[in-house]
Amino acid sequence: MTASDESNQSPSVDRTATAVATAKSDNGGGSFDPTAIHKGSRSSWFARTNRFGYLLIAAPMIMMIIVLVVPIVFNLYASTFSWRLFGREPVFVGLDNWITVLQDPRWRASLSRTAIFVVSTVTVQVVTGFWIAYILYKHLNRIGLLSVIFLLPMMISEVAAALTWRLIVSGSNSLLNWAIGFLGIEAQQWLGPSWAFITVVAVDAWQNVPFVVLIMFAAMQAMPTDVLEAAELDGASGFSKLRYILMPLLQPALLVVLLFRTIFAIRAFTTIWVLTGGGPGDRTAVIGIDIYRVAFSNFNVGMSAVLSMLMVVISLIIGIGYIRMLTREPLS
Amino acid sequence: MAVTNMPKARMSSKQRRQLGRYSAYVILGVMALIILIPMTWIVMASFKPNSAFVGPPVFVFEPTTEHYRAMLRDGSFLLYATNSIIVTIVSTVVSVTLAALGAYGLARIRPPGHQGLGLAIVTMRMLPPIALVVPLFMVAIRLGVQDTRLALILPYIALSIPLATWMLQGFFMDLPRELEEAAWIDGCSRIGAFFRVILPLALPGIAAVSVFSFVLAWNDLVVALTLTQFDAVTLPVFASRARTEEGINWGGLGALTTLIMIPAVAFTIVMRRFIVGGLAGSAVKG
Repeated sequence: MTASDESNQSPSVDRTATAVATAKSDNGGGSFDPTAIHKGSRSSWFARTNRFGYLLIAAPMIMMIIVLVVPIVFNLYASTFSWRLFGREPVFVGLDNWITVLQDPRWRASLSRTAIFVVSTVTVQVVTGFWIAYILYKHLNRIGLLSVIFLLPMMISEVAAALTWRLIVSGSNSLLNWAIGFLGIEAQQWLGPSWAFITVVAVDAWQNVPFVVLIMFAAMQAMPTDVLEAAELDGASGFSKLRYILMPLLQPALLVVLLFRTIFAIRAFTTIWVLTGGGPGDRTAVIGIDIYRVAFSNFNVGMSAVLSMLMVVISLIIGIGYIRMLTREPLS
Repeated sequence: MAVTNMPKARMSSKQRRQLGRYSAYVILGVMALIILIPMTWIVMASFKPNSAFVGPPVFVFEPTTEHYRAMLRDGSFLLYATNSIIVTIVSTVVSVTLAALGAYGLARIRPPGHQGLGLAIVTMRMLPPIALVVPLFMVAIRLGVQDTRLALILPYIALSIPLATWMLQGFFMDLPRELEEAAWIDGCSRIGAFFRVILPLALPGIAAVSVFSFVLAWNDLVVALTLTQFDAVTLPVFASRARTEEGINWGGLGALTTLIMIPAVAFTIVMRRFIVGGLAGSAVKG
């Protein structure tokens, strides 16, 4: 890491850096330095510059700590209380809330529902996205103007996307029901008990698959083409090409997409809230919906804090995997 | 799909390639349609007379602007639109400014520990907003800022900073260092060189980052749903409140949805090069 660090710096800074290093070692701060622009000794210039650097980073850091970190600490604290949103004083209950969430069938159902949602939505998106990107990569050199269209679903508000799809699927005379009527399929209640979960996964896919396609297409175009051609000449089958050539070459991009989609699937709220509100019954109530409903409908802050902490911890575990990849990458 | 005998294979592989190309075009076309049809449908709904929402889908109709006119006469809509605009613009300007300064510090001054700080910022991006809103709500109540624009602006700033700092760091590192040094030698101060040399060169990056910050605040439901009630409600919250199936005024809701989509769509078209670059840079290269 230090090696890449130094190589990133330009010659003149390297000179200053080594000059400072020697200055530190022999305590002689007064040697001649043609690159010194500011008055005063070089090491104090360096100290001042560093302080300036910290000052610049401090503002965004403080902002993030207040708004992002403090609430997490609060959640950890609140999770050990029986805490009503309004009215009576919080009562310390230790780990009771945690035990309830992990034991009570109602919460276990909610957690497993979230797991099913995350696994299905991420699988659908990554598999479809990868497959489409691969077909495009095999036959086209560039997507061109269509990339604008591919960007649209993920740039527009989830509220807009969900409302759009609600218009398309709800009611027996909706556009979708009208269209499948031509195929001889009778109208379905897409937001009803049997379809709601699938509809939610599908709308999430609509917003995110194009993004996966764009990222994977870019990654595939960055692959060395000769490897694939050589494999084809050697008669590699479709599966072994995928398993032994594409997967290893695309692994970094694939992992990034996988981790990112997972982190965002875990925090799913808006699309589901607007499409179904978590219903019908609890069929689409993932953990994000529960956090909101438990706090603002049941006024149970302690329980909502436990759910929030679970979400944060799982996101961070996955996120750290991602960050470890990032820090490893520059070295390779 | 093993290669069989050569001469025949060459012929059929050429044909196969042609076929493959067509299939790729078909897939591209189908994808574009799957993306565009729903968006067109909601925009169409905003121009349909109310009678068009009864019975089977209507494709041919006399377009009307009544839903937009009704919206502009609606005082609460005007308030919510003003809220959305103010909150989005203020939070974008502040977050991009803070992120630009922080990213400059991390990428160019590189004080000891800058790598750890960079990682801390990336980690902040992993935090799910929905898990933060209940504490934020309670703090906002206690501070008496619940249901004010300020209560939205601060979280939006903090939520945009991680991605913005991270992306800008990359942009700043890509700029040649010699330019900045030349400015110092010509007598520019460090901050002067930042504003006169670095910032103008990083403008494409700043623009891309601004789009992401803008869209984050403009599109958000999670934070605004929790922290607003009457006075500071934003357009997505307003739109999300139409939740009962019967009696939805789809013309009006279509107009509202269209308005919410317009800025994001416009930015995506104008800035597409930078957005693809930013996304690819931040998602693949890191």
